[in-house]
Amino acid sequence: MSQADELKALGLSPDETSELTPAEAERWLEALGAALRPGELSTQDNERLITLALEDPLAPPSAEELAESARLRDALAGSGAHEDVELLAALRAPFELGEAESAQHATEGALAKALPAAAANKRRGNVVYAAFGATSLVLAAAAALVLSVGGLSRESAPAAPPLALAKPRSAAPLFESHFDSNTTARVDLIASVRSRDLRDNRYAAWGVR
Amino acid sequence: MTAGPITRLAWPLVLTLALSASACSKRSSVDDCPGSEQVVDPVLLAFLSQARSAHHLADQREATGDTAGALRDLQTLVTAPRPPGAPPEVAEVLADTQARIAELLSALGRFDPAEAAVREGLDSAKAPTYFRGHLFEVRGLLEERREKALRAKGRGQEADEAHQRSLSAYEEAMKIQASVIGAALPAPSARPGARP
Repeated sequence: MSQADELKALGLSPDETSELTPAEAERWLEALGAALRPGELSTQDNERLITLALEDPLAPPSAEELAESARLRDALAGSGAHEDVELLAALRAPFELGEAESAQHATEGALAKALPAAAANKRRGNVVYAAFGATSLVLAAAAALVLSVGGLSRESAPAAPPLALAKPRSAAPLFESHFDSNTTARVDLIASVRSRDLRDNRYAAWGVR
Repeated sequence: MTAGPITRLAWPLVLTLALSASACSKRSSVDDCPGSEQVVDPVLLAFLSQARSAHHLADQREATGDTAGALRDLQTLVTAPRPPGAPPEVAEVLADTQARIAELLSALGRFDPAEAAVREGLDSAKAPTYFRGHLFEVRGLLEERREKALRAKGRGQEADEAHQRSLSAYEEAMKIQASVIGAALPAPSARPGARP
C-alpha cells in the first residue's frame, strides 16, 4: 500500500496530504499509527512517566542542587564565581537606596532591573526553562530580600488584603444539582474538588493567583 | 528535559519564604502552620486520597465477589487517623463510607453490625445533608432485608417490627432529602417568572 493510501486509510484527505514529501508522510504515518495503535508501555517507562508527573517542588534538594547552592553562596560572599551573581546583584541594588523606600517600591524596582539582566543572561538552550528559571529566581531573591531588609518599614507598605483561602467545608453543595448514586463517584468528586482547592490555596500563598 | 539547578533551587526558596512569611506570620496557612486558621491542606487531601483509594479497592473486590475484602478496605478507612480539626467533608466521607459498609453487611445478613455502622455514620453526619438522608435510606434497606430474613425463619413478630423500622427509616430519608432539595432550590423571588 502506498503512503497516500495509508494516509487515506487513516482518515486524511488526499487534498491534505498530496504535498507532503515522502519523509513527512512517513512521519505522519508513524505518529498517526502510534496514536491509533499505541504499543505496549514498558514498566520502566510507565514508572518514569509517573515519577515525572509527580515531581514534587517541595522535595528535598538533590546533591547537585546543594553543591550549586554552596557555589552560589560562596560567590555572593565574594569567593569564587557564579553566573547568577550578576542577576542577584541587580535584585539587591534597589534595596540599598535607603530606609525611606517602601518594600513594594523596592520590589518593583528590583524586578524591573533584574528582568533585563535575566534576559541578557540567557544561556540555557531551552527558552521555557530560561524564562521560568529566571522568574523563579527573581521571585525567590525578591522574597528573600524583602524579608531580610529589616529597615523596610512594614508600616509604610499598604496592608495586604487577607488571602481568600479555601477552607474545609461540607461537600453537600457538590451534590445539589447532581446526585451520584455510587459512593466511589461521590468520594472521587469530593477529592477532586478539594484537590483543586489545595492547588488554588498554594497559588494564593505564592501570590500568583 | 531538566531544569537547571538554580531553577530547582529557586522553588524551595520561593515556597519556604512565601509560606513562612505570608502564610504563617499573618495569614491562614496552606500547609497548616501552628495556630493558624484551618484551610484545605495536604493532610485533608491525604485523607481524601486514602478514602478514594479505599472505595476503588472495595469496588474491585466487590466486582470479583470478594465482599469480605471490600469490607476490610472500608473498615481500614473508618478506623484510620483523621485530619485534625474535624473537617466537615471528612465527617461526610466517613458517613458515606459507613453507609456503604452497612449496605454490604446487610447483604451478607449481618444486620446488627450493619445497624451499628449506620449509627456511627449518623454520629458523623448530624446536619440534614444528602449524606444523613442516605444513611436513613440504607437503614430502611437493611431493615427490609432483616424483615425478609426473619419472616423466612417464621419469626413473624420480629419481622413486623423490622418492617416498621424500615418504614420509619425510609420516611426519615425522604424528609431529609426533601429538605436538601428544598434548600438547593432558588428562593421564589429569584425564580424566573416569579411574581414580585
